[in-house]
Amino acid sequence: MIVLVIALVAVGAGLIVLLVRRSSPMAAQLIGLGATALVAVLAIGIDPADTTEVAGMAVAPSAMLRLVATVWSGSLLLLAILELAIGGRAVIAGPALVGLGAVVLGLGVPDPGTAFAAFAAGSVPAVLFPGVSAWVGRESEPERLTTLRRAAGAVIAATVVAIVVVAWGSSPVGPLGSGEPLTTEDPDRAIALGLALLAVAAAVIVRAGLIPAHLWAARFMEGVSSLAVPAALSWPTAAFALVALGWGQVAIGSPTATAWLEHGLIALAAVASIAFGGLAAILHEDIEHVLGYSIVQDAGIALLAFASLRPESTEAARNWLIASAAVKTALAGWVAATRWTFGAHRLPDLRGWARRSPALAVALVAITFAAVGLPGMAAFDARASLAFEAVPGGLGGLVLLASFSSILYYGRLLAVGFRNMGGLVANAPSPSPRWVGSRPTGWSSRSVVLVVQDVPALVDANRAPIVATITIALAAIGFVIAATGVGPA
Amino acid sequence: MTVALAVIAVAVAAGAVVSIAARDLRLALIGVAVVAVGSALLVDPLSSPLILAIRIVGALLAVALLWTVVVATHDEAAAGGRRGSRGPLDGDAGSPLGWPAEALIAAGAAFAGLGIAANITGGGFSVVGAGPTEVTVSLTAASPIAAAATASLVLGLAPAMFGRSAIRGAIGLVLIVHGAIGLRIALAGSPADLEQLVFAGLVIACASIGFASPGVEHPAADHDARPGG
Repeated sequence: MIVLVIALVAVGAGLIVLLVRRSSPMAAQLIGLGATALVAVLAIGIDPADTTEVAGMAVAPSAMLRLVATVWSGSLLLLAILELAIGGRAVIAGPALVGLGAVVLGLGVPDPGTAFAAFAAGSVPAVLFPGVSAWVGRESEPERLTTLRRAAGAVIAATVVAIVVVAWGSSPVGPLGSGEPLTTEDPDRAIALGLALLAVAAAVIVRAGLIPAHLWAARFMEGVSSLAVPAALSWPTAAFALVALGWGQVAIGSPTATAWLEHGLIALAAVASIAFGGLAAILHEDIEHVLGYSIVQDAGIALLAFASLRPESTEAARNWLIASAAVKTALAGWVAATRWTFGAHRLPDLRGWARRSPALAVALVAITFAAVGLPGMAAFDARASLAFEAVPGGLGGLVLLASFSSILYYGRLLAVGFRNMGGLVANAPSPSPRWVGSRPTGWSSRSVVLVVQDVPALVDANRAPIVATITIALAAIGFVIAATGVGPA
Repeated sequence: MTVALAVIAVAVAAGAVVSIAARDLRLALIGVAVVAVGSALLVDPLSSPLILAIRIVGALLAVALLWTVVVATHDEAAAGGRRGSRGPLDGDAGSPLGWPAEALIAAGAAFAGLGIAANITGGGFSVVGAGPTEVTVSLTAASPIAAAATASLVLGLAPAMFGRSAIRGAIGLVLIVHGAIGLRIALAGSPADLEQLVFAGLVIACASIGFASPGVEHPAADHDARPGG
């Protein structure tokens, strides 16, 4: 029941925020923050055993759903506060809440087709509205809107393919509807299963903006606030891939493990995304592109699970996808905080950022450890498992090595931060906490009033440390999820 | 029941042709409305009245979203003194092929849908290449649903991918989604009520693409690959 409540609260509040955002931005901010906090509290109370029948379908939560809902809503709350702190215009909370509600509902229903449709219905606002907001005042750049249409079109295209393939699986000729045991001995059936696997993998590639369908994702990153990226790309893509993997394992399963051509094509697309995504993140000089291509690389690692479909790789993909979404949410927060703090987003202009703001450096170090990982951390082990399950032997080692290129782009960000400070960084507001206003020397009712009256000025004077603290909190969430994973299914 | 479904399927396919081929966007949106309402009825057995009403209202809400944009653009054009215009946004004059060609494409796609349905009903891969008698026997309620769905889906592809205006693109996406929902019903049977509610939300989300980014046409240099992209 609580899953349904969360979905209704999130979608309802998100739509209200979208409606009132222009006429009353402050009300939209408050509604967004309140609803996100409420959803975060409700998400903690999700009971995996609490199955409810809703409109003819059982909505059954799971430990994974609880983790996704808790982490995403908690991170979204921090992102919304961050947006408020950096003077944003209530862009992210509304669409992200709609997306969150749709993902919670989709992960709770047993039918993958319903889940895919819910994800798309929630993702379109998350892609569209932040992009349109960024376009206002830049009407001379119509290609921004074209990019948005492509992004929304990619979401719909992936969904349509996934819905039709899932329906085929449940049809009388599909592996689930036929009632026959899965077998690849029948050559017609083997071809059909292989094509279904390729179609589902293609849907994931398009939805995640993986190579070769990466252009919309790359251009989307250029145009919108980085705070909007997790709701548009990271979490819905993770949910989409999780459901697609679950369906693939049940409907197609390991009998197609001998289908080397299909698996080879999927592994090729995954490796291309890992290698070129990592390379692009290393070569690009603006931090939004680093964020975008690192997301592409992470999704490429998750795609490896479709190249084997064994239970071990599905389990590893589950850990990887959720950890990756949490870590990239933290990185998105860091990108927004850094850009706001220093008024720059290109690495040559950010020289010495870590010296100027050690708190932001702490956040990026935590993000780096979470993203790259250490042996024993769930995400670290999941990446190795995905690489070797999909590409056994020495080649698997090479794939794993390519996936560690993240060390280079995170290292580059940190290295730039410890160089001599450039002009923009040197002139940035002080990251140290400051006390402004009156300083009461003793406790009385009058001194309390004085302190309360000074709170707005105090917050205003300490925006930089507040922003950095929020970023550290986001990084801590990412690190914990990367370390612990989902746990047993 | 199958006859009624067949009549509705023909109406859906005709609506899809109109929505793609009409020069006047208002006429195109009437075509979309026919597709939307017809698609809600293309279920066997028919959904409960409440669910049916929600799907129809959702689909019409999606059309209404697009209608507001089209009417606003038309008013702007009229206020701007565009003399002799044939309709709103007629710089994007619909399908360059014309309605006869689009109708032919719809008919071809519908036959493909019939083939899919016959194949599913007949037991799958073993009846590929079946004779006319077996195919006739295997016509079921899924056949008109699949025929209308494939017609709608195929007709929506071109405007969704290459449509010059946001509205045409959104119309294409709405057709594709209705087609996918129809194929889902033809292949896997009647959806649960919750699934139908989610489908209604999906259709509205598609229309919101045209609503939120109206009137902007692809720039000439849209197909380039920007350095650093």
